[in-house]
Amino acid sequence: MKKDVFEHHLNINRRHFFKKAAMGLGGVALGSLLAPDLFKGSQDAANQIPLGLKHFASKAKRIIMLVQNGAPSQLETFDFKPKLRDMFGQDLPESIRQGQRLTGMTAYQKSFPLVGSKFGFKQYGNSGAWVSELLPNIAKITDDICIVKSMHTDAINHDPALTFLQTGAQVGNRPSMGSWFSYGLGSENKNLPAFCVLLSKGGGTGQGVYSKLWSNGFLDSTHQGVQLSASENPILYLNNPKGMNMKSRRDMLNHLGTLNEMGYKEFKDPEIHSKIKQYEMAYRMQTAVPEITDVSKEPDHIKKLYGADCMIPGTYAANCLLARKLSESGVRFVQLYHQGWDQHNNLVGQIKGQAKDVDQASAALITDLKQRGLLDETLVIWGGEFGRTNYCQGKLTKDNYGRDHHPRAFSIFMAGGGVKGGKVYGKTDELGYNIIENPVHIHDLHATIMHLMGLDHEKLTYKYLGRRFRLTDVHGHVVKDILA
Amino acid sequence: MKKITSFALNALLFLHCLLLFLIVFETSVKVPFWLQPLGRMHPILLHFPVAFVVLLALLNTLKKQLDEHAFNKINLFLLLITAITTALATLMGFLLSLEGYESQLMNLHKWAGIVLCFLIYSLVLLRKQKIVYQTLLYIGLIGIVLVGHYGAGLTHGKNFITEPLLAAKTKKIDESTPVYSAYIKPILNAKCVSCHNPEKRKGALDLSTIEGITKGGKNGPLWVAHKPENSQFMQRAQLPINDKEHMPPEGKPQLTPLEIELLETWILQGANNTISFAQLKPEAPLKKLIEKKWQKQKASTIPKYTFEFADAKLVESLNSSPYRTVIQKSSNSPAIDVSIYGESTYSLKLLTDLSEIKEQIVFLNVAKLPVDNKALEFIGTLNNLEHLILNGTDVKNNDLQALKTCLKLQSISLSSTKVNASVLSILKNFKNLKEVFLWNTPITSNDLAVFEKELPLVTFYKGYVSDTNTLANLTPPILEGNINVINSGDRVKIWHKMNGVKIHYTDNGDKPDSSSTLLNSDLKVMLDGKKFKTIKTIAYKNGWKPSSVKSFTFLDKGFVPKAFELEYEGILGEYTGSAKRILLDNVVMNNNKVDVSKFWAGFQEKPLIAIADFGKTETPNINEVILSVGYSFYQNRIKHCPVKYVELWISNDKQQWKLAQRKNYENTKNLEDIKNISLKVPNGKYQYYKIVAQPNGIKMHVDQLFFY
Repeated sequence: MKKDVFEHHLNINRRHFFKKAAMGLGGVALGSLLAPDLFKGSQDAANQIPLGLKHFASKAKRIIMLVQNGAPSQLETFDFKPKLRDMFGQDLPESIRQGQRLTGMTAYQKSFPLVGSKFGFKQYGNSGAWVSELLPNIAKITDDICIVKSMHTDAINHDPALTFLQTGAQVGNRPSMGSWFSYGLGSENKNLPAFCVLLSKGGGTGQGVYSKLWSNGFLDSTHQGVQLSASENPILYLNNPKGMNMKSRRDMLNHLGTLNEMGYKEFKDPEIHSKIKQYEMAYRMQTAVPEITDVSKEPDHIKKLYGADCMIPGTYAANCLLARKLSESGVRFVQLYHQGWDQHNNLVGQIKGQAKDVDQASAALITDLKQRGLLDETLVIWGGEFGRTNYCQGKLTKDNYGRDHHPRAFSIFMAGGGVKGGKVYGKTDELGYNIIENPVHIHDLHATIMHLMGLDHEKLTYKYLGRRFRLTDVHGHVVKDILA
Repeated sequence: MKKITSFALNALLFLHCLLLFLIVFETSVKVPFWLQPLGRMHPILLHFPVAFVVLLALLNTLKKQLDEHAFNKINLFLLLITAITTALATLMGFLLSLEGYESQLMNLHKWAGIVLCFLIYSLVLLRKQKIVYQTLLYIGLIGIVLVGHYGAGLTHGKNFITEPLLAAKTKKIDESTPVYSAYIKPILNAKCVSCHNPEKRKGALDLSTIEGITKGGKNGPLWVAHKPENSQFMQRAQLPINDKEHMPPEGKPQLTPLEIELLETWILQGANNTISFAQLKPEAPLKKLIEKKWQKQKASTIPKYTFEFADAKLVESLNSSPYRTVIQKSSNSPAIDVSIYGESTYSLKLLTDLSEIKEQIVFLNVAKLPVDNKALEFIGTLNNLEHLILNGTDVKNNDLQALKTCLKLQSISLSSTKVNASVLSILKNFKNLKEVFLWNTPITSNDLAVFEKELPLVTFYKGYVSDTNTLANLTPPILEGNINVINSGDRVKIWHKMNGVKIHYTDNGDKPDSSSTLLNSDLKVMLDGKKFKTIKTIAYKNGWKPSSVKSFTFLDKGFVPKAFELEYEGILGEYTGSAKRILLDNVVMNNNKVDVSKFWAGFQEKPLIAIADFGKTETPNINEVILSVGYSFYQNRIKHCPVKYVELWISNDKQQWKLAQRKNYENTKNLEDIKNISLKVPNGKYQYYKIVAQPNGIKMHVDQLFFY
């Protein structure tokens, strides 16, 4: 036996080894002939699609994002749960909650009494989508919108959740979505910023909105969102000071440009060129912005469509009208924030006013884009940063209740830009707590929005701190079912 | 035999190393054209391993009947030839896969094939381990059946074997398909059959077969031919959704209006289940409906462009003008979208410069620009134009004649233009037209009905038409600059943002209406010796509901100090930190609605210390100083007074101060008390007044100072 083993080993001697190795290596060598670029190093540079071009042809060119800041209750708007009414006051079963973390505001509550919506729901349109009586105008356009009832997010408090919705990360300092699109697709109208931000406030309990939400993060500062104010001068410091006319402004910029060029030759800092570009754009904005922000030329029935509030700067209606005008003029990404949706208590009282603020103008914006033939190329997104709990926060009475933050399921809607109209996507359980069908994570929403804009979310990257960053980080799946 | 064996073993090692290498570096492998035929021989060679593996398995079952020596020899020979042909077939298949077959089935076939290849190789290597060998061999047998099946699916289609069985059920829809099976049956299948099928038979009704349908349910037949109004089916579908009899029941997917229209027309046509689309008479309403609505929905296809890419440098140079954007549709599409912006900066040259990329332009947006006939003539030369936006331009019907040559036009937006009903004759030229946007044009809905009849394949969008019956509320009038602290007799501007609005007002406390005094110009406000005056206003406009009543309360300005100074201007950051301006800005806000605006100054730790100087000469005789303080809802909630105390000091030399009055609010419960804090001045004229207000640990908001 020992001998056998010994001889077996002798069977593979040095010669055998070389012979076999030659065969194996020969195969590898032949294979390497078929991969000529194998040792040429990284292919990234060669495969890079030039910035400013879509990765593939798509319908959407621009986005208007209507952020309902504070998180509107999905149970009072789009996610109809009659079962919650039947179970009024009963405790949320642990089998449903499954140890879900709660905010400090209700975590120590003794019980979690379920409460159904005080507001009536009806089905509308071809899709038979359920919409609450709080949103009568949006109910009329259900055939143009796609309601996603299965959104979910990672964060449970406003600021991280909103930062997550805007930048794809809960911590700050990442570029906002609008900045990514400005970076990836450039500007459509070079006389206006590619990314504009409009703020408004409802009567409900508010939550802060900070400029970090429209920050360019690590991208070039030209991609930062420009906030338009509600005052008579929507863009601050854009007007010429008294005594300066356009000609002397032009002369000044020419001389300044010469000086800056000299500075560039000496220091070769690319930010100097960004600066020159921004001065030039600001100069052109001096004529372009007044043309856009002037609402006096809008016909009267447009004012009726949006509601008379659209004449008062700083209201949601005025911002929706302005958003349409900006988008129509080629602003790539218009970001609206409407504050006041944080109904921890007195939900019944507060949500009426909030809904009234946004219902007519949101629907009007979509109708208005459609009648101009622009809805196909403009993606409208409406939604908050998370949802609200199916149980009551604080004291539950027959007539009033409050709802805490709920990241596990919430509803948003989208319209135009290559999204299927008249569609309801995703489902939550009977109690509206967990998603039971087609969950859509914030990363998936981002991937889908990018897809609609003709960008592959895995390909649009920016190298920073030694790694390639994406809006969707290492996540995200395109929700193909809602694409038209 | 030994030589053959050793040669074969070497060859196998070589082939498997090659295969392994190719798999690992798959993304960088490029198959040269001369190697492609080798790959394409995969379908020929693959039959050998299939047969050999089966043969090998068969041979093994016969092992006991055969002479051991002969068996070993044959088995070894067969095994080697199986392994070599398998490896070759796999390699070829791999090369073939690189030609760009992308599907899930393809991946399945590829990876199953590769695993099988290495499995067979391991058979060769482990041929002496009897039990292991046997097990692997039978796994290999199953494997080859699977791989073969996936491969067959690739070449012949997924359901190749079962196809003849399924074919009887699904047929392709064309003009000769009966309308019933092409259009009606799918609706029933989607919306009805889940409850009305042979298994469930709700209401004793089975809608899954034509026999079941003709038989009807427990309430009799479904429809009466030619009489949709008498047909139970239509009646049920059109009941209100919450009616018990309504079908499909509440909560289930509903029939769409389009589907109901189709079903209705079909019953009207006689509910014939054999008549086909081709057999229908051209004027039959059913045929028209299908043509117009149904087939149009399905006709959308992704456009493929055959023209060349434009020169990238040329596109870049065209983009040098900031008023024009020229964007290629995507990195792999030669089509180009052009938008021109800026009413005041527009010139014809922005368009004519584009002549070199005429062929590539498929989308043009010139909305709101002063485009003239020359511009339209140029647009007429864009042969591949599909989408044109002329919203808000001055174009008229005749001008559009110039576009006749844009034969590929699919969508044209004419919203907010002057085109009228006779534009139809021009639209008829565009054979590919799919959508026309006509909102805010002189075209009426009657005109539109004609349009839709004449061009059934086109969708016309009239957009929002304001309903004259439902009136919208006007917003209330506004006060210019919010200035509500005045001297008696000052003029104030109360106005409305909307043109043509009439503002009526009262100044005696009555509710204003359309019979109240009309406000024509700036309003002169007389205080008549009082501290304040309230003006109530209301706005009216034709076609709108009147606004709500808006009251403006004007306060007496009192004495204005000649000089005014503050040691500390308040918290910076969310507040503007300019208390000096705010305290005398003549704007008083609602004390109960403190917000972060330029009208409020905030203090938290350091007190407000303001010194007003009324001059050495003409010193007024001041009796009272009032400080207006706000309390926000936060303070309202915590029931904690934001003011600790307020002091008024008087002096004539700014050195020696005398305390005139001090009011403590530390324990005040009723926050109304701090709205207007009044401090009495002792008799006499004083040049300097010092007001000190100490916050109570939380934010204190101050608005205005009055000297009476």
